[in-house]
Amino acid sequence: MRALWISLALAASGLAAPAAAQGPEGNSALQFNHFMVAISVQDIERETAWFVDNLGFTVEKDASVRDGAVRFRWLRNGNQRIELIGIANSQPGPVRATPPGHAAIRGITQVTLETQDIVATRAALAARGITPALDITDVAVLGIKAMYLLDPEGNAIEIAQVVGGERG
Amino acid sequence: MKTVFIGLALVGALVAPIGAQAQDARDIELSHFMSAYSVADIEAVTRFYVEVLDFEVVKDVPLGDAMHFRWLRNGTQGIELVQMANSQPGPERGRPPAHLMVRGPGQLMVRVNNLEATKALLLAKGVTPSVDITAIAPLGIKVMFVNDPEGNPIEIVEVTDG
Repeated sequence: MRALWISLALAASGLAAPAAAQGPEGNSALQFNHFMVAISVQDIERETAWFVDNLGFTVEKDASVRDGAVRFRWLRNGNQRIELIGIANSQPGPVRATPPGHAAIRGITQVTLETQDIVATRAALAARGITPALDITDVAVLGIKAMYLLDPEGNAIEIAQVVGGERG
Repeated sequence: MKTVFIGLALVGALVAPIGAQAQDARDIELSHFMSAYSVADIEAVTRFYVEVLDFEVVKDVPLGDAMHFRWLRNGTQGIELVQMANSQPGPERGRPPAHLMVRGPGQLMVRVNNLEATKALLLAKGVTPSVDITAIAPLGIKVMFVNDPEGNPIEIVEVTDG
């Protein structure tokens, strides 16, 4: 594990240069917008193909450092981005149960994407040979219908349709 | 672990499968909704996101001792916190970027217009980045990381190239 640490530190030093910090421009509240969710993957090509072929993502950026030992690929569908990161010698994450049991292990558990028509989305996925890990389910307490997919490496993707009127 | 299962069964009782109806396949249009975190202490984590990162609570659904959902939002970024009875700790991850050596979802990335100003606001709240502002030239971004009270990394990003 120490070798992995050294390897990643080298990667970071190879691609990163500290930027000078400047003073604040104001005292307003912090304002964020969604940018991406980063997923560390073993097989970046297989993962890319799954998101592109099945979920309609497109490849927005493809970069690598350290002679390909660290690879970055940005995927985009609408305003949702996913950053796939492939790092040589990365280790498997924990084995999670099928959703919703996957949340019994703490940490980031899923990316949740919104659809306007979950039944149509399910049909489109079925036409691509994709079967949900958890079929369309009415989660009335949250005002959504949701289903879960698992990508080729078992990462959970939740697809939700707001049905309760309030998106939150 | 048995109790966890019972908790999940309770969740299952709250939801009802819906028969999917066949429709013509079409292009899939999706948009960002949220990223979900399973947490041990939903109150402590909420305080961090609300008091430090200025998220607001937009939905709060406690389900007894078994489960608690809370939705947070800041701008276009949504976060779902889920506290589940008897959840187990995730794997030990190193400090970013080494946390990515363990595969799976690594971090939420939020965008700001001015990273330096954001850092100054965080410092004023007593929060020091776990990784200071760093330019990542191949990706056209500058980033810094902060970690929430349970160690989940948040990458704060300013796009510098396009």
